[in-house]
Order: sequence, then C-alpha cells, then structure tokens
Amino acid sequence: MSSSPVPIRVESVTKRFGDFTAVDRISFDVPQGRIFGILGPNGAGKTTTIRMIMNITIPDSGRVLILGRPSTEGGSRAIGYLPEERGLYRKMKVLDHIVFLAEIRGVTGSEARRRAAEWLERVQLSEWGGKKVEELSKGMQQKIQFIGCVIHDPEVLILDEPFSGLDPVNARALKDLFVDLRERGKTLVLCTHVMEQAEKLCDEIVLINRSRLVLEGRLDEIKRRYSGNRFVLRGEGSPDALRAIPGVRGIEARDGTVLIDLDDSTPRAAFLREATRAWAIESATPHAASLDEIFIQVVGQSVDEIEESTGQKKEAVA
Amino acid sequence: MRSVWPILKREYLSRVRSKAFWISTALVPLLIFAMTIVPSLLAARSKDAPEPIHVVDLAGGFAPVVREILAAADRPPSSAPIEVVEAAGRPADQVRTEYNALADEGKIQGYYLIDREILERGDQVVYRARNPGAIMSDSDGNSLVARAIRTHRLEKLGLSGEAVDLAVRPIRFDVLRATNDPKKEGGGVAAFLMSFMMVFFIYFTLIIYGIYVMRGVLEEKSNRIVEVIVSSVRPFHLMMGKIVGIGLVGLTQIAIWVAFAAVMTAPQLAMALSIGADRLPRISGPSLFFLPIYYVLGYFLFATIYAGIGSMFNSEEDAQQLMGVANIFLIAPMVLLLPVMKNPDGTMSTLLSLFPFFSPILMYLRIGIQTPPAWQIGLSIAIMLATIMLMIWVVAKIYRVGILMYGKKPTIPEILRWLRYT
Repeated sequence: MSSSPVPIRVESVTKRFGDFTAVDRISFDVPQGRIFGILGPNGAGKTTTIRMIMNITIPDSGRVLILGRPSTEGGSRAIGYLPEERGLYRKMKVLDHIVFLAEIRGVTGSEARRRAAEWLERVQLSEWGGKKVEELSKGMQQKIQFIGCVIHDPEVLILDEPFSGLDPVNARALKDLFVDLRERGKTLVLCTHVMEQAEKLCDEIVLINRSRLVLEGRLDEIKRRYSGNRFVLRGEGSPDALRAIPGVRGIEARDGTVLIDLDDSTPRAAFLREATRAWAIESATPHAASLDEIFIQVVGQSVDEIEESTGQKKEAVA
Repeated sequence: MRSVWPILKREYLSRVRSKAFWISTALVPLLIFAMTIVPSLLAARSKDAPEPIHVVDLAGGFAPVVREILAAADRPPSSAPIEVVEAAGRPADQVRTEYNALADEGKIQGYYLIDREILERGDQVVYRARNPGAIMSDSDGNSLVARAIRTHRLEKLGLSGEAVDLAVRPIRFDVLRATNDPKKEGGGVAAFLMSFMMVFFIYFTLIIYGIYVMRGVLEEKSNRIVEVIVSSVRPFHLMMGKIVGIGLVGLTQIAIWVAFAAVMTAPQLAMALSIGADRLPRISGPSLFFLPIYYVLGYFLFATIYAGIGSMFNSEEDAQQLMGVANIFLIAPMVLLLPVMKNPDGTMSTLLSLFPFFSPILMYLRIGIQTPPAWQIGLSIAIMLATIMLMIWVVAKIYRVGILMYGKKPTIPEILRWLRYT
C-alpha cells in the first residue's frame, strides 16, 4: 500500500518445544496505523508468536521483520510490549519504577523522570509517585504497567490480554486510550481469546487455532464473508414450513425468531415470496455473524470447547 | 551492553537503600563486638564474688610452698582466687566428704586434695569441681599446683632459691613460619587464626549473596515482571546485571565493615605498633592480596549457579532441593578444612584446592597457611575463570527458558532439554 515498510511482518515462523509444535508456519503482516487482533483460544500459540515478534523466543524457522529489519537485530526493543504475565517490583517506589521501565527502554536521565511524572499526572496517580508499588490497588498497578509499555513512545504496541483483570470502568478507559493511540497513527496489536473485545476494537485480525493460522483479513470483510446469506425472521408460523422452501440450507429457531441460512444462489426476495404463503412475517433483518460464530464455522468447535480440551497444555508449554 | 546498566543500577540501589541492608550491615559488627566484649563483661560482673578454689594440704608442709608460688604468680584479675588450706593429719575421706558438700553448696568452685603420695612420687592430681566443664578456664590453677609440687620436690632434694625458680619456670611456645624473610614470619598462630577467619568470611558471604541472587531471580518470576523486562533487555544482560549488581552490594557491605574495623582498631593498632607489635595478629601479605581475587571469582561461580537455580523454579520451596546440591559444593570444602590444614602440600590437598568449586575456600586456605607455588595459584585462578565462563554459558541457556516457565516444577530431563532450545 505505502512505500514505508510494514511495522511487523511475520514470515512463516515455526516454534517447537520438544515434540510439541507451538507455532506452525504462521505468516501475516500488521499494517500501519491499525488495531490488529491476534485471536484464538488459550494455548493456540498466540503468546509464543508474540514472543517471537519480541525476540524473546527465537523461531526454529521463518523470521520476523520489524519495520523491514529482522527482529534479531534488536528492532523489537522499540515496540511497547505488555505481556500477559505482567507485574512490578512490589518494594519499589512508583516513580522510581516507571523511571526504571523507561531506562530499560532507552529513555534516560531527566527525560525519563519528566515523562514518568507526566504519565502519572495523566492517569491521576501523581500523589502516589513516592509510595511503594505494593501500596497501590490492582487497578492502579495495571495503569503503571501500561505506562511502562508506552513511556518510550513506541510506534508499535503489542498488548497480550490487556483487559484481563480490569474492572469495567478501567477497561473502558483503556479501550478509549487504544482508539486514541490509533488516531495518532500508532499501530496496535491486540492479542486475546475474548472474541467480543476484539470485535469491538480490531480493524484486522488473524485467527490462530492449534498452532496454525486459520483465518486472516479485515474484520468487516471477514464478517461479510461468513455471515453469508443469513437473516433473522420475526413472525408467526411453523419452522417446518420454512425448511421445505427451496434454497434453505438450515434454520435455527430462537425465542420468537428464526435464523434462516439461505443458499448463496437463492435471492432473498425469492425466499420471502415463498415464505409469506406459510408465514405472517413481521420483519426480516440480515444477520451479521459474531466472531464467536465465525470461529465455530471455521474450526468446528467453540473457543470454550477447545480451551477445555487443551487447557492443561497451556501450563506446560508457556 | 547499554541495557545492563539500568538493571545493575536498580539491583544495587534498591538493595543499598533498603532497611534490611543497613540492619544486616550494622548487625555483623555488633555481633562481633558482642562476641568479644560480652565474655569479659560477664567475667567482670562475676568478679564481685567468684567462689574460690581450695588447695588442701593433707601432707603438711606443702601449704607454704603454694602460698609462695601464688604470691609470685601474675594471675589475671578475672581468675578465681586460690586459697590454701592446711589439713595435715586429717583422714582424706572425711575431708573429701566435707569439701564435696562445700562445692555442692556453691561455697567453692572446686578443690585439690594433695597428700603425701602425690607430693613424693605421684603423677596424677585430681581437681574436683562443682562444674567440671569449667576446668578449661581454671587451667592456670592446674599449672600453679603442678609448679608448687615440683618446687616442693626440688626443695626436698636440697635445691633452693633461684635454682628451683629456674627449674619450674613455665615455658611458652610460639609458632612462626619457616622463612629467612623476617617480614614473612607472620604473627604465628595468630596469623594462622586470622586466615582461618577469612576463610569463614568467604564461605558465609558466598552462601549469603548467592542465595540473594537466587531469591532475586525467583522474585522476578513470581511477581511476573520478568517478561516485561526481557522484552527490552536480553535475558543474558538481565542475569549479568543482577549478578554484578548484587555482587557490588556485597562489596559495599564489606567495604563498610573494613572501614568500621579500621576506625575501631586504629587506636589500639597505633599503640601496639609504638610498643613493638611482635605479637600482633597480622594477616600475611598473600592472604590479603588474594582475598578479593578468590572472593570475586567464587562469587561469580556460585552466583551464576544460584541464578540458574532461581530461574528453573517458581518458589523457594521448589528450589530448595537443588539449592541443597549447590550448597554442598560450599560446605564440602569447609568439611575438608582440617585435613587440608594438616597436610597443605599433599597431593590430595593440591588436587582438592584446584577443583574450581573448592578453590575459593581450599586454595585460599592454603595461601593463608603456607603459600603454595605460584603455578598452583595461577592454575586455580585459570580453572576458576574457565569454569565461570562455562557456567555462565550453560546457565544463560537455562535462564533464558526458565524465567518464562510458569506452572509446575520442571523435572531434570526437562531442564536438560531447555539447553537444546534455541
């Protein structure tokens, strides 16, 4: 699209831990200035993929390019990274801690102190600067963790399950912050197994299941593609009468409504003409599939079912 | 390398600024102070009413001899008073019953019964005490009685005056190093004890600071900050920053102690030097020179191992078992101290002291008591350096994988498999 290199390019990376393949030939591009979702059940290989982007784990094959340069050359140090497993030194003072996090990211001296104070002000924790981290509430600590990953003003942010453990108010504030960052041209990578969150925020997604990439693209296109010729019918009549209409692939009765799945070649108007003979129709609205539904269509199982069957695996593999 | 600096700085400052650091820094001199001062304070306190020791003369004619010796003896003020009792002609059994009762009531500490048999040809004197354990502190009572018996015998044989004095005068022994350089003679036994103390000092600091490193790594895992850090700092740099930072904390503490000791002992030292410091406990030159070298090398060796152990586990309980194995490498040379001391130049001692994990203690001990040939010292340093590099290389691989492993305790085969991960 543009001549400048993509912020993150993942080229066919594979990672094995012993006999277990955690990531299997995954490739994707993260476009600039978007919120990009890496989605999938827990244990699918999301965190391992991110760790390879961050050069924390080295891929067995394939490579990652950060702004056109291999991640092994240290480019990933410029990325702001909020890992899923995150924490702080409990005995350190809040301001000192933020300065420390700034220093390991290359912001030093008085500049680090200035930015730390500025950010504390911004999240309304200024008066806590001299307190020890352990005196802060969990929500406050999460704010500090977030400050830590943006203090060096990175062009790209990678956030692994950023909403876990946040109360609704703080989750809301964080979402607003993400949108704000995108508006300022930053690239955000959001990694989560909670599909509803991704649905509300992401512009583009990749879906990973059992170490493989199963779906990728712009969220609106994916939704269009997987919603197919489906719509919700509200009215009175017998569902069986509808099933007999030519072109109907399946119907699903939900309290007072029926979800109709039509053959792609059957025009909706033709179906409705037939349907009015057996039904008193009140309304017919197109149905957009949720990410959860798309996931089931692609994989054949729900996220929950997969996590249940592989839940033990996650611990062992990390 | 730039990323090591913030890690090192944080490790150093956060510890040096902590209360725990200053408390432990203050506590050690206080303990040493207490250990040296309290016994003499206790002795001074008990001087008010120290129960006497009785020397009972059953034979007759012995009592004046003892009194004469006592009057001439230069006894330390804290020692128990010795009283001489004449009981010539009384039956020994009766006297013993009487004195046992006195000791039991706490009127006396103990007593010697001297009969004719002992005075004439005996070679064994019995000291009966309420608390026989106290005999160690009363040994000067024994030598006094022995001198009195010898004097009595010599006078019986017709000697007198200066001749007897010369014959019974106690002879003391000192130990010096066999060398033609008077500077290297050292303070004999005192110098030997000093290097022995230094060995203990190395042992304790290595084990304490090694465990600090392990705790530091475990802490970063358990509070889940480690992944935040390794996204910006190479795990190897994190590990080395931590090891060096904590090592500097240790050196700071030692520097404070040395400065403190220098200030505290300066007046005595100046006084001792002005009166000719022959018997002053001196650390030998090599001992002093090699202390920082062996300390630093030993620290890197063990801190690296403890860092690796910390990275494998999620809690100190899980780490306990492997930590025990590491500790054995520090405890074993302490157990071997005495055999090595007896024969510091033997083949066994040489080999043991060249074993890199034992060198900080055993080679350093050998340097303190009988400086080994330069090639052995050089070789031990070279072996330690090589081992440190090997350990850092191996541990860095384990560390890199281990710090990101949460959940169940890994098995040894699993840890070995980490070594193959890239």
